[in-house]
Amino acid sequence: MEVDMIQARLNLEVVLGLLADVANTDPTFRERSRTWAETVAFKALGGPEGWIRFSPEGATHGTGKPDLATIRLILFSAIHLNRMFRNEGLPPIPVKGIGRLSFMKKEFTELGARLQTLTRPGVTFCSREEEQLSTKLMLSAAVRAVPILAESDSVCAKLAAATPEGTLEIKSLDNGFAGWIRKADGKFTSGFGAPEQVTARMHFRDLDAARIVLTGKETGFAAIGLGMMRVEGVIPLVDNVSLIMDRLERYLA
Amino acid sequence: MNTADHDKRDGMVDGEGGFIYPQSRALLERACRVIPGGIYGHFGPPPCVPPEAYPFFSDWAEGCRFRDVDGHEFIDYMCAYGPMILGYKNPVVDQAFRQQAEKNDTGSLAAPVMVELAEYLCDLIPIADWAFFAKNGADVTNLAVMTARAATGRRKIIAIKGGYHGTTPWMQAPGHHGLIADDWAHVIRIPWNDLTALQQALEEHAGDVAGFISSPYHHPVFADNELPAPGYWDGVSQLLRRHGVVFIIDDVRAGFRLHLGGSNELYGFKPDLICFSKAIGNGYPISALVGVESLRKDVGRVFHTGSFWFGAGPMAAALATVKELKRLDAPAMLRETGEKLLNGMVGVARSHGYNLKVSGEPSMPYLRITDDPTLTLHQHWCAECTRRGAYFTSHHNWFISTAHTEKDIQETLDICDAAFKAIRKRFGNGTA
Ligand SMILES: Cc1ncc(COP(=O)(O)O)c(C=O)c1O
Repeated sequence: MEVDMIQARLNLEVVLGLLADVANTDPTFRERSRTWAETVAFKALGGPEGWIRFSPEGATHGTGKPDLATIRLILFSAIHLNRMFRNEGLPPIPVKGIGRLSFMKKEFTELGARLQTLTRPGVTFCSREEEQLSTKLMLSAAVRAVPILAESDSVCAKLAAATPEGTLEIKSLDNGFAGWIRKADGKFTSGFGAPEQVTARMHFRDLDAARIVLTGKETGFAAIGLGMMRVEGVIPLVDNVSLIMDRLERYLA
Repeated sequence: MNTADHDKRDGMVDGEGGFIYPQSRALLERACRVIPGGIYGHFGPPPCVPPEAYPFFSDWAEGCRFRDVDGHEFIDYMCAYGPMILGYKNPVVDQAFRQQAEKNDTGSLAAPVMVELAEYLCDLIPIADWAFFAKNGADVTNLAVMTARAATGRRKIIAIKGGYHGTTPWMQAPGHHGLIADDWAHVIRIPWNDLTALQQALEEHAGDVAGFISSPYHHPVFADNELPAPGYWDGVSQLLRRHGVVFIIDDVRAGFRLHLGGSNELYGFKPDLICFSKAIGNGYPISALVGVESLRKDVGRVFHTGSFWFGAGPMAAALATVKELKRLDAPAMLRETGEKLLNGMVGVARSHGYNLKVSGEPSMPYLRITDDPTLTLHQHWCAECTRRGAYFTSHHNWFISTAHTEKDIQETLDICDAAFKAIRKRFGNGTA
């Protein structure tokens, strides 16, 4: 049960976020997604709610109930929702926007397939840009997932409790990625861009180095020794957040 | 070439005269191909911040110095993370090892030196009525915990938050790879110096606590070290006796540096079991569990052994080490050397406008520049010292040995001075 609920939250908070990222940054979707005007709301009965919005200003996402959904989908349970995100099982129940479901079947499904291609392990990329986008998505997933895991996964909760307070900056030094994870008053939050204050740093030499570490081609130990990655500051913050991130693969393969 | 004529500037340096390490890097690259992570555990690169300031491989050591594979020489303040206490290549210890090894070392029977060493430790250590030998610290912290469980028939172990007792699953912090929840199900972690928390844990798990394990003072990594508060150990002893809990002191790190009778003697209390390793053999691989008469039967029933645990050479080395430590009154010597070094360093820091906080015991101090709470400034200062020949890590307590001389201390202080200048130049008046 715990696993299904955590996975449902990750789908709504991390995967929807990544879908928004793909819509906003992938060359095949960047222009196309600006022509969409849809807000899709997902609700798992007895579980979490989330939404994704596509508009000419770009794609955004969030938790809870959106203001104005054009399509509202109900899932019977967290398990049902998770299956939908894996393209398995019964379709969701549309309670609003029945006439717009072709968007879900076509555009949304294509966007999902693109995300899958970009994040599939061992995939061969057509271009460097594509590979770099894939790496950014992996970093984004990790940054988004930590607060959820810290709160809901029982092992991560123990790690979270033992994590010192402060802000960890995660950055690729070729300006390919910048994000942060913060623990303040016992609670984790995360975001993108440069944080105001930094307690610890996890810097990758470039996106290629980040990819080597994230795909497990080199361990963090080796990456640090070989100069691909640099950690600094309150290292226990880096260590514990890394261990929390490592548990993401248990939920999102 | 001996230490005196070796010019440590022989190794490669950068534009500012700081060491650079091409051979170490090349070896690490080779290592990464055949050893996961290249170098694992506490010797691994992550705590060396920034890693380019640190060497990774060494091929020579003598006295309080080692040389890396690039030819740079360092005054060593990590002392192999504790095992080196009398200096590398100590002639007395090395000769004892060689003499024994010429007779026999790892064989098919125990060697007489095992009995001799046990007898010597039982004489030297007030609480010791028996001794048991193994190789690593974790071998004996494990044995201590098994003994406590055997003696009490109970499950729970109380330990201190941030206390380190080795890498066996029950000792590791939850969430590390390869562990399952069962591994930490029976370990209760309480804060250091907190008698109320101890009492609460004992009451909450009344009748189910087998043992309490702690270092004699709190020496975590990445945090100031803390001495026992007045009355703390008395309070602990009383609570444990009242609840029938086995009292284990993990003296693996501090053992023989603070007091030759066990560090507990310095603080005036008597545990049931003491775990030793690290300094006991001056680098030769050996650990020991010593304990009180009432646990003789229980430890004797626990099955615990290892292929190399009867190695006679390290036992002879350990016997020579403890005798030499006694001859030198090493704890007093280390304290004096430590105090000289630390007073000097704090003064040098102050002369540059920095606050260097010293915690723990002078013979194994933990230092931190308090001007930057993120530790980054401190990390860069340690790195600048290392790049100039004083090997400091920034996250772990350091160690003093009897081989550190007045001259080494003075040279270290000069290096510290240059390193403070370097960080002031780099970071100005701000933090890192
Ligand atoms: C206090 C303490 N206990 C136990 C251990 C474990 O010893 P070993 O690494 O030899 O197993 C260590 C090692 O650093 C230690 O410092």
